[in-house]
Amino acid sequence: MCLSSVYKETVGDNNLLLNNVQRITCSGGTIVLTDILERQLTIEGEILLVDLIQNQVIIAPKD
Amino acid sequence: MHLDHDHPHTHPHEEHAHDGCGEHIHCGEHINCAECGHNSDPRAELLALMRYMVGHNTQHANELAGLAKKLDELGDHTSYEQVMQAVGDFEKGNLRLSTVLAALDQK
Repeated sequence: MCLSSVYKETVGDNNLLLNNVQRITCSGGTIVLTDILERQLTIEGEILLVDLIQNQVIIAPKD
Repeated sequence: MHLDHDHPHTHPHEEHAHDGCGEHIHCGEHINCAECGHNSDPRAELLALMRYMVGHNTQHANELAGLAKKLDELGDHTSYEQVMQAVGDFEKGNLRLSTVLAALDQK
């Protein structure tokens, strides 16, 4: 229900990929993050964690 | 990783190298790169966030009203009334926010 912050590998300011994320889509290892202004960030990887209480998502990018 | 865009870059890639990511994040000239701090329209983002908050608060108010109703159904009418008062206060605050938002939208 709330916007989320998406991080790479672990939660931390230096690992923030995108803030105020309203939508996440996943397809075949491709993750598309969309923020409140409809800006999109595409990442190859997998979602490790979605915390709906803390509004945090952790992604492991594909190396 | 890349930001989706369909127009040519007008800047060197070095401007948007992200050491923590190990890859470039490309920013098109019409796309704000909020994640690297290069937000060319912070006011637009603030308004979008406020708009989201007003709508989201309405959802929460409705959910709280639903919870209150369940309290009533469980026989706790006093708690139902108190929660509904809280919902009313919540909606008043949200109405104030939406008024501010309307004024900001007109500026």
